[in-house]
Amino acid sequence: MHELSVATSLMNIIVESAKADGALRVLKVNLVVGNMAGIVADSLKDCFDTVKEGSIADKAELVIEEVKATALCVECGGKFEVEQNMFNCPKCGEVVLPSGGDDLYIKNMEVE
Amino acid sequence: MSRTVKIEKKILEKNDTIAARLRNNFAKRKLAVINIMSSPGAGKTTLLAETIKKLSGRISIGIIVGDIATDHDAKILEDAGAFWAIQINTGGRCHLEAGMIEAVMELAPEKLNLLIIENIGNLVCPAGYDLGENVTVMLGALTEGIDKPKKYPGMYRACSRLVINKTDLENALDIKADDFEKEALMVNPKLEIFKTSAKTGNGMNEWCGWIASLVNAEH
Repeated sequence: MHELSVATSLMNIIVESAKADGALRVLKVNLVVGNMAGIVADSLKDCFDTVKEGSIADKAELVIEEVKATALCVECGGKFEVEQNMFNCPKCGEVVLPSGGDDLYIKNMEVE
Repeated sequence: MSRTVKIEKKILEKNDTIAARLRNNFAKRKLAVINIMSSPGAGKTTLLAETIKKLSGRISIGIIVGDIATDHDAKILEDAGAFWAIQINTGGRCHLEAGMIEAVMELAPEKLNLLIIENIGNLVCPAGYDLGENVTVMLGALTEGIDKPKKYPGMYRACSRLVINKTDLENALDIKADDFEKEALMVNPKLEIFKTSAKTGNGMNEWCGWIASLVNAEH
């Protein structure tokens, strides 16, 4: 729901980094987004397309790598990836608390 | 020729940096800070008004209230006895950010012992923004229905405490606070839970006792 403000923050970092690097144009931006970060990838891409207009990243493509939260079951010791709407261990049914998956960062960008 | 520029930067780094600075300043002035979040209409303002009435004799409570529009809530909380109450109108933004808190803290009186931040009523976005608080509290109301924890797991997982409010309506709604509790614990088994009715006062002693214990505690 706040993808637009995330896209704006992202744009600020891109512009700063491009300036520091002396780049003429940003071609591609590689992001990592966790599945518990509360960010919808498609929506973030749409917002990015809006905020990038007229900037150094005007033609840049946003590539989003999704990482997943994991959980370790206290009951059976099973380790597994957790989706937003998953609340129980798939093996034994114990309630689990996910860890991680809250990533929201820029890895790198391709420039020329 | 294209080349790769390494960045490795959090997108909300600016918010996190300000939040860290706020946390540091709060600790220096020995100010306990709570960030309370809920859906619109869960009863944040009523719960806080009753909390302030009970505690304002012994604790100087400051309140920062976030809303899209109006200063309605800040007035209610000031009338209830808050030592300081300030309203942030976000215009349309769905969450508070650390920069907004830092800006209004310049106006805060020295004497505060406890700061309560009443976030925008929204079960999605506020969870993503650290405001430098010591404790993040979720307020759920029986009127929302017990399906909410599972429908909005991000919010229930981002908090360490849950208040289940409007328990006086159990019979009218045919919903039990215990069932709401069970559902919430399935989403976040680590939640510590209070059950309150800000209207009748049920459970308010436990809740207010915990709030009072935050003041002067080590954070």
